[in-house]
Amino acid sequence: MRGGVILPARIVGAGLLSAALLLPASTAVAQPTSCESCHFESDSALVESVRSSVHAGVGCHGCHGGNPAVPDEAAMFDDPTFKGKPERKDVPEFCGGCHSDVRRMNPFGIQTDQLAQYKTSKHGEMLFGKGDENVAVCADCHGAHGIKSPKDPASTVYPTNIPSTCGRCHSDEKKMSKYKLPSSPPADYEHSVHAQALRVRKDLSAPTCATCHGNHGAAPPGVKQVSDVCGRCHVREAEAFGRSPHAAATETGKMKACVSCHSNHAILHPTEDLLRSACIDCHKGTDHKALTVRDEFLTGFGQLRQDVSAVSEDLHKAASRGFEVGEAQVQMEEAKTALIALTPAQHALDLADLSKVLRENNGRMEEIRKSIKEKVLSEGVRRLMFLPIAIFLVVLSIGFAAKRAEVEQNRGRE
Amino acid sequence: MGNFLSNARNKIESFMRDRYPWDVFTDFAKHQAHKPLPPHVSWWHTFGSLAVFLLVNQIVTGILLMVYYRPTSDHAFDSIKFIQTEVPAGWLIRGLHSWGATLMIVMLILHMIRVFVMGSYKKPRELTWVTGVFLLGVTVTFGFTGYLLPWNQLSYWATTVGTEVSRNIPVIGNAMTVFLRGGEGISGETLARFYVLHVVVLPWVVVGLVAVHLFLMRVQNLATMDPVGSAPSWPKDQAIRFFPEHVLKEMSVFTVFLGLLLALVIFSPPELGEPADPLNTPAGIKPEWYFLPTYQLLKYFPKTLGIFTSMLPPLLLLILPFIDRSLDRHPKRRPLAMTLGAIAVAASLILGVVGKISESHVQFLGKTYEVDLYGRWLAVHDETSDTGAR
Amino acid sequence: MVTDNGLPRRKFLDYFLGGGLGVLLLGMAAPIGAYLWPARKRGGVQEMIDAGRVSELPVGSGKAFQVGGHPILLVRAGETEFRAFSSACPHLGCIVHWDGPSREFKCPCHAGVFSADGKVVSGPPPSALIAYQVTVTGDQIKIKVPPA
Repeated sequence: MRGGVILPARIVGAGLLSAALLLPASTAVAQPTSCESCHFESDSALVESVRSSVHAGVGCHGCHGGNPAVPDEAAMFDDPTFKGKPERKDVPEFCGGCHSDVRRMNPFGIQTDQLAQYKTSKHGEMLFGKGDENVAVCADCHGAHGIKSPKDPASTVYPTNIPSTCGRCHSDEKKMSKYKLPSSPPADYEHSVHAQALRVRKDLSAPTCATCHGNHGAAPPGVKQVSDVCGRCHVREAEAFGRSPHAAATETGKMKACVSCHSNHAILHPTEDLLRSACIDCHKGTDHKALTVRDEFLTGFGQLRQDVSAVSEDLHKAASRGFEVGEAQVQMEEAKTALIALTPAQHALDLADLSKVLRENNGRMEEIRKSIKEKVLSEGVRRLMFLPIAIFLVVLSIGFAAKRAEVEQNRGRE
Repeated sequence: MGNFLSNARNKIESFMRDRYPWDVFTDFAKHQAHKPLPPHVSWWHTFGSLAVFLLVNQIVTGILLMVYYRPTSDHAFDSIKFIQTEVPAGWLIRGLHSWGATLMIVMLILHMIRVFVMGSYKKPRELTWVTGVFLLGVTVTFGFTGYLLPWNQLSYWATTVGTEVSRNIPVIGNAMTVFLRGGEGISGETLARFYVLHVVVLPWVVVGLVAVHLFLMRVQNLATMDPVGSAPSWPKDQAIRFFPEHVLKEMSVFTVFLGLLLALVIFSPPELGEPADPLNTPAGIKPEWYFLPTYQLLKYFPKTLGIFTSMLPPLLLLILPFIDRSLDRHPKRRPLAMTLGAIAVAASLILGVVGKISESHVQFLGKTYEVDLYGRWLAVHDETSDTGAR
Repeated sequence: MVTDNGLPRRKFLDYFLGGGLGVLLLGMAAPIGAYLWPARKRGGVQEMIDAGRVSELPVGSGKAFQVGGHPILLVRAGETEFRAFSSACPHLGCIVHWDGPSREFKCPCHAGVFSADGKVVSGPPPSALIAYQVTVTGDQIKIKVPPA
């Protein structure tokens, strides 16, 4: 009985202790501090936003210093740790005070290289190198007091909110013109296939600004320049592209890899129209060889698509009529797979790839057609069988009629 | 051989005679077989027996289908597909059952028209007619429940629309629909109760009704064309024996009819369709042809009124012998009845055709017409000139 | 014999009709018999299907086949580890292939990669491959087939 009472108390105590270790001022949440009691009066929204933020447990003094245990203004001015409001240029170091500290971040499993990364970014270079305070600092993207976890849909850096967060500055023509930067990318992005995936298909893994441009640093980890970034998701396209004559052209700087054809921000879902229009931007006039390759691919795609849709229509009809077409259906799926797989493969611009796919698919289509024909033929056999049966039944019917006439005739004579 | 057969027959006969009033049995059978029918019994009188043949066909093929059919929403479609594609002669059995159902309704309607035109429903055969109307109702219910069983898109959605109609019944409408469906929507529960109705409940009802129908028919013999009340005026020596004359006539018709049924099964086999998808309503859902007149009629009348309007024709059919009490049977002497009957048939045909073409495009005399929900049509611009203008 | 008003002709008609009726009945009974004869050795739908022998499937190898239009991949991930998946990629329905050396399923369309237990490793697929139940009795591998 005694143990039963003591044990829970111990657990509670241990819990409190560990909470206090993890969050420097976790008690601040429970009791209003002297900071809050004054600042709530002057700006209640500010205090509320901190309370609902990811930093609620850090408390005011966790960032701004001071002693929340002392009442009134003495809490600020009588305390040597008091920092007050940081200068704009000091914000990165201000946040980095904790966020670069491995010991502090480790329990939360948060990286600590953001400040270092930031210093490599254009924003960081401008701020620290040129003392330009107009560039984005931590608080511009993450907010100051109401910072939410990036996983929280209300966060300014939640995937769906990133384009508008970056766009706050990068859509502003006035701000951008100072740096000779275009103000169209955020709007362009909204037209792109990537925005489509993010907004319509609600695919949170779809790329946003930061996916290609990096979030804190200048480029995403493992990427030399932004134009290399496409290949990280579009693996097969990049691999095929590496085999193409365009890879060499990119090396020598004549071409900008993916961007040359697909553009950068307003990347649309690529169709055959793109193939039709993109080549002639560079291969002007008399470059017959390049255009021949293009035309071969166009006809190949056209033929494949037509074959696949025609045969799958036939197959569908046969299935609906009640034929067993399982084997052919799987072959059909393989044909569709080949067609889809040709899309990345075309980036190698190798006609041998195309003719191999065409050859294989023609074989598949031929087999499917043949198997459908055989099934339908089995129905033809039924139809042929019907003829003798029908004749037999009609003759039998006539026989019965004749018998009836005979019976009636006999009865008349009786 | 012959000796052996007659020996066996004698043995069986003496076995039976020792134990039962054997002569009563044989006399009854002989009496029934040689029962004299009135001399005007014609080819038109074979519709009823074709319906009986179809009933046997439905029972036999139905039992066979039950061997492989699985009445659950997961397996219904697959089991039909299995029957259709893998079971030897499965396509034949399913085709016979499916086309047999359709032809059954055709035969019942033809039989009914024959009885109406010849005035055979009049006194004293009112109850035979009434059981006949009930048989038609049960057969239609058979069709409705059976249509869901393949669990394909058409059957699923036609049943959804069909059961939705009962919502318009005042007061109990909603409860009725939920009861019919075994839940709010069409589900595996609906399939299960439709299956039970189709293979257990309705068959016994139909067998009972057919027994009463045939019993009454045999007891009262077939009606002549003479007016009600006058004694049957056919000389006994002109009578047509049920066996062999009438049976031979029926066999003669039956063999041709069997050929027709087989032709339909072989040249227009019932489709498998696509598996039922509750999330995807296909365009242009229509009920089976025999529901089309009612389906179209319901569109013209608002909810509750529609229910009552569509109940009227079957109700009229049911009480027909009690309204039409004139004594004449011969159609020539019943001009009013014939006219009204013809109007009823024509109205059903027109409603049915309009129901069939409603909400679709129809090509007629080289022009395309768009027909709306109510059967109003509108000539559609020729598409080639349209693209030319662009 | 012939004098008795065409008796042979009448006999012929009787024989013909009798024989015809017999043929008719046999013709009706034959399809019924065929119909009732088991169509598959192991019965109808939703059954365990034969997927071959353990000895024919070395460790690390895979085998593709179809049931009722469903492409299925059976792989032997370990000595006693057999797994079967629908080989339709949950992304756009392309047919995935088993890559023996890396012990992964790879989709040729958009570079989707699945682990040997069907989970998404990388790429655009929104969910894991659909798994089917596999049982091994002695040397025989059987897969529980999904409804088509």
